[in-house]
Amino acid sequence: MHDYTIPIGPLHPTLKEPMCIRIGLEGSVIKQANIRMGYTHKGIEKILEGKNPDSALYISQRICGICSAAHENAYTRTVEGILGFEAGEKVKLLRAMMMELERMHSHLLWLGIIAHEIGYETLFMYFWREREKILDVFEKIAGGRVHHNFNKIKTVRYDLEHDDKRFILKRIEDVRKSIYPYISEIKDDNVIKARLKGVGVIDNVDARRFCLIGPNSRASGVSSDIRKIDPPYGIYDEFEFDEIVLDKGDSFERTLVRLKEVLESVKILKQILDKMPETKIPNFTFTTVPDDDGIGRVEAPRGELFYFLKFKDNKIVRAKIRTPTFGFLKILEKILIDQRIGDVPVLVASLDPCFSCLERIMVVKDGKTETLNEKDFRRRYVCTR
Amino acid sequence: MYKIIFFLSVPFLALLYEGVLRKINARFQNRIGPPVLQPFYDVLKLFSKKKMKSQNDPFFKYSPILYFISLYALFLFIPFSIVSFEHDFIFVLYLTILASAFYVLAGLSSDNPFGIIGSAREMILMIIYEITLVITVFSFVMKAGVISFGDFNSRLLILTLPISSLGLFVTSMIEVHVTPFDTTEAPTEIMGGSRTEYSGTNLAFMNMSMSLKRLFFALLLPMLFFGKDIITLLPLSILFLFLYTLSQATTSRYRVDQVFKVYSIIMFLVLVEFILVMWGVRWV
Repeated sequence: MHDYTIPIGPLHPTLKEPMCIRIGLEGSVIKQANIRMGYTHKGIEKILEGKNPDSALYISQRICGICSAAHENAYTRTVEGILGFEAGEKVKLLRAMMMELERMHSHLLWLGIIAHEIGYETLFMYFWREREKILDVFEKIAGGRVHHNFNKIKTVRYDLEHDDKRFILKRIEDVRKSIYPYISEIKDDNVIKARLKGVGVIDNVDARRFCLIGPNSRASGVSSDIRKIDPPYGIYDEFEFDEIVLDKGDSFERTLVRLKEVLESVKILKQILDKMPETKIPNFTFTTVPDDDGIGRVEAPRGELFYFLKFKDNKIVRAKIRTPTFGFLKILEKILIDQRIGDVPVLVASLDPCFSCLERIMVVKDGKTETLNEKDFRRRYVCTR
Repeated sequence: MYKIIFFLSVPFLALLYEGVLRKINARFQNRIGPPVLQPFYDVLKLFSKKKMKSQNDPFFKYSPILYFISLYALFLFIPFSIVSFEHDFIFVLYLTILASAFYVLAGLSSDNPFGIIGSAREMILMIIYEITLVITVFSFVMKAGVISFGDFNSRLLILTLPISSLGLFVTSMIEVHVTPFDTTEAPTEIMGGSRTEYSGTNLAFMNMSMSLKRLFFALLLPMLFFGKDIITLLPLSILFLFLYTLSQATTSRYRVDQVFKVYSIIMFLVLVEFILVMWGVRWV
């Protein structure tokens, strides 16, 4: 049917994390694409089982290195939902602040990657230079640039110090000012337009059929921001901001959506810092969770992040995490078809997948369920010998 | 005598230029960048590597060396004519095409899908850029009215042949794999194309050949555009190196079909100017 098959991955410069796409080529046009996952399976859900609610928090935020604040927020929201507890205003504001800072940092990181994929190394370096500013803010507030360990159940760990507010305002203002030249650069540059416009189009119907979430669906004209649903989670009903929804759904629009969302995050952050009360954050006490289950969800940078937790004897007995990448990865197989091999990096990167988050699914082959004992599991996923 | 010294120092000069290019590129990108001598360290390290025999194909083994030699031989003619004979510019063009052919062979014989795709792309582009290279160089040589590079002493031909100059500059950008025309290497798409499967000494030859090619075009272009003065040639070659770096730093990569589309316009214009030159029409 097709001339030859080449594997993209698990180790390939296109991919920042391991994953394998086997593409069947006819000339340089892709006629078949199969995604294979399972290279970074960490067994997080299994590790979470048997942990008490306070220590499981630290496992959950290590699921992802880019959206760790989203994971810890989703976890604490789930547990607080089971407890029927509503956090105070200051705690909510601080949590929202971390989430928005993280959205900015994640989108800037992604913008750098898409520039790298189309060979624009300078833009890649510049975007990451802006991202550094956000990481500095993380370091100043929470002490960690990647993993912040910011949340506790019912409270947070760090309050803002006396000059933190000014520091954050200065940094986000720097980023806001620098985003406008990038927007005009991306809109005006002919080569970027040639590479991104009309590539990987997901129309409105497909976006609904595949249940896309996050910026990918918003680029296709489907509103999906759970900060805007009624009632919004957390404290987002008190802020004024726009949900960026564009209509064409190609890689170019997906880039623009993310660039503009950075600006919206700056808007939200300014309102958060205005509203921040001078009160103290509540002290931490150990939590006892009743035997119950509950769900929680937040809008992570890539879309909706969903948590299900079931507790028994103050320990987790079942954890189910649906990361945003799961919501939009399946469409990759569809949009790869009839594209050229030169567009594969752009197509993969334009969705902004995060495999480290995603990997907790075991593929069932040919409809047969496989039960793996520890030895088999190690043989297949841990040790290659 | 200085010609011989220059010829012997060409590989070192090429690597030095490579280092300068990397440094300038890094400064564009707001980085400090590697030391200027980094390409020397890279090549020395690659030469000290153990030889890997992944293929028994003789083309796979010897293509990089032949690629290197055919490019090195170009410096016998450009910029100082150590060897000179009638119609030697045809021989020079032949050597550049031969070098590209060895590059393609290296990729095809490596039996790696990415290498094959890289070579296929190079072949697609060769159809169009080698023709333009030949047409533009012929235009320059005919305008100068010489039959070998040894006699070439015209100055400021860039003013009389503006379109050919532009065409030759774009061609050189494709030849030395600078964005937006580095489709044949495209590290994020096909892992560097023909070089994918190589390692050790052979990779060193492949990398050095690319440096040599860059130096060759950085010397050929000022020579054809501005004249053969030794005093101006080296500074101007650095200027051209800077232009390549500028292009590398400020553009992204075209897809292979887009290169073809953009480039066919240039080829058409160059062809028109070539015909005008044949008829003896002058711009200035």
